[in-house]
Amino acid sequence: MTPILDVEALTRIHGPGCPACLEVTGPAHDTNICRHCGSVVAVADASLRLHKGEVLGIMGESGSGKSSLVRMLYFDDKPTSGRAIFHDGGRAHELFALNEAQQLRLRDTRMGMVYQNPALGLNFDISAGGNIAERLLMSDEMSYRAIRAKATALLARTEVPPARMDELPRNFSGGMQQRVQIARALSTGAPLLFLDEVTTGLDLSVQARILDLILELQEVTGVSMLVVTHDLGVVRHLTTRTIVMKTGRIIEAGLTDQILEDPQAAYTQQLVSSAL
Amino acid sequence: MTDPILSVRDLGKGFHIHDRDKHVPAAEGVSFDLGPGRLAALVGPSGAGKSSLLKAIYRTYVPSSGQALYRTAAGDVVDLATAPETAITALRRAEIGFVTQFLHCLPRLSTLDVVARPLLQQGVARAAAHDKAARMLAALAIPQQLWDATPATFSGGERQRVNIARSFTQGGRLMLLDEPTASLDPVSRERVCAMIEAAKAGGVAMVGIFHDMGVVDRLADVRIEVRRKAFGDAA
Repeated sequence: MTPILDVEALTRIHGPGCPACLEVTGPAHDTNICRHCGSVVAVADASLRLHKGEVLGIMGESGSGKSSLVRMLYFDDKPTSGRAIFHDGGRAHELFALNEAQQLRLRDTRMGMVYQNPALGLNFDISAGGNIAERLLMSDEMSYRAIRAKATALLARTEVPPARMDELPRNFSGGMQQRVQIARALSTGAPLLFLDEVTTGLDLSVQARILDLILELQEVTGVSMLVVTHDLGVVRHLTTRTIVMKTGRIIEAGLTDQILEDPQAAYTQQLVSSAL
Repeated sequence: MTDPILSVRDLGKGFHIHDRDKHVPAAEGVSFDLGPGRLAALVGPSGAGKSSLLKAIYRTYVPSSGQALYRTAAGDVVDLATAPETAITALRRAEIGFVTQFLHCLPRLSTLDVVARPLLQQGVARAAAHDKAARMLAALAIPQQLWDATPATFSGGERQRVNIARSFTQGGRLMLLDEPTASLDPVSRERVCAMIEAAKAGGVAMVGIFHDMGVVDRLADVRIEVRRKAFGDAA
């Protein structure tokens, strides 16, 4: 299997930081707050490899650092230390060594993100179709007609009625907003997608249809995905491998069925046994 | 004699429950060799750890001891107990199948899609995958009127047959069978046994658990006694 993303020792500390930060935080101390300097260790020493066409789950409770991790990879936040290599079409981009313009270009054309909160991933002041057009424009698609046709096709594929493409997404239901976000994220044919709690807060029936849609699009496009979730059902449904995080650290990684049926770490056992 | 497809060496399983700081033994180590077209039946009383061993070979459980050396179609020998997850994923997709008593499937897919799905994931064209799925469903006597419906609405026995149809549609070189004939009526059981015999004749190696000793007598080439390790023994 070919790697598409290699993350090496990624660390993010909010606050001044001190030499003791990493030693006095983490699962063994059950905290991510450094007692010496008060800094918050959001992510510490996180390494992972994502392969082409693979769907990798990142599981953990609120505050475990799972969202912080993907946000850095999508350039929403800057790491304190560590590296990430994005292997894209024969080129290896060292993500945090690029300048801002290069980072934005990668983010706009070669990566996609679907946030839990659609307000983060969409511009609520322009139409659903406009949201997709905006991203297509960034990838140099220029003709109005071509953009409109592509936006229509993408929305149809994510089951947003074409009749509503000129409406503002703020008027849409939560499920429909997520569909527009997914269409926008996929619009440029990016090989790497980040999904951050995409179904959290949606009705169960809507959740199921969104997950089916994601699975189907993944199989058709072969896009690689990092799926952040606290929901064991999402992990079971979408992913083949899963990483478990706690207080900023990766504490366990394995095949998803193994993580769910034979978890090794004490914390993962607790997490799995607390499922309803 | 041909080389074995699977060589199990002292493979055992226990669970460490951190919450209670307790070690729960599941299965004492077993060893056996399995060649193409052969079926090894795991036998032993309920709770002896037969299913645990099967799951340890498939790596749904992390083995506590021993090796499960699998010879791939390409001729490499892989220890399933320790191979990287990506290697296991690739083998599961193309070479190693698992049949459970219980069907975990999306309640929103049609029966035909459920059965064809593993082939579609292998990249087989839709028409060919559906064709093979249809033949398997027919062989297991699932009425054609039900193929469009979701198996979620089926009876236990029908679901189990859908599950078996899916696993045998996917095929592979090694199949792990966890009570594939439990809760089936005699006619269906006969069909499943015939399907297992056909797969054996085609060279598929199998490890199976059957609660029905008549089925063991009929299908098994070798019996592996499984015993639960006594509590208090070292892991």
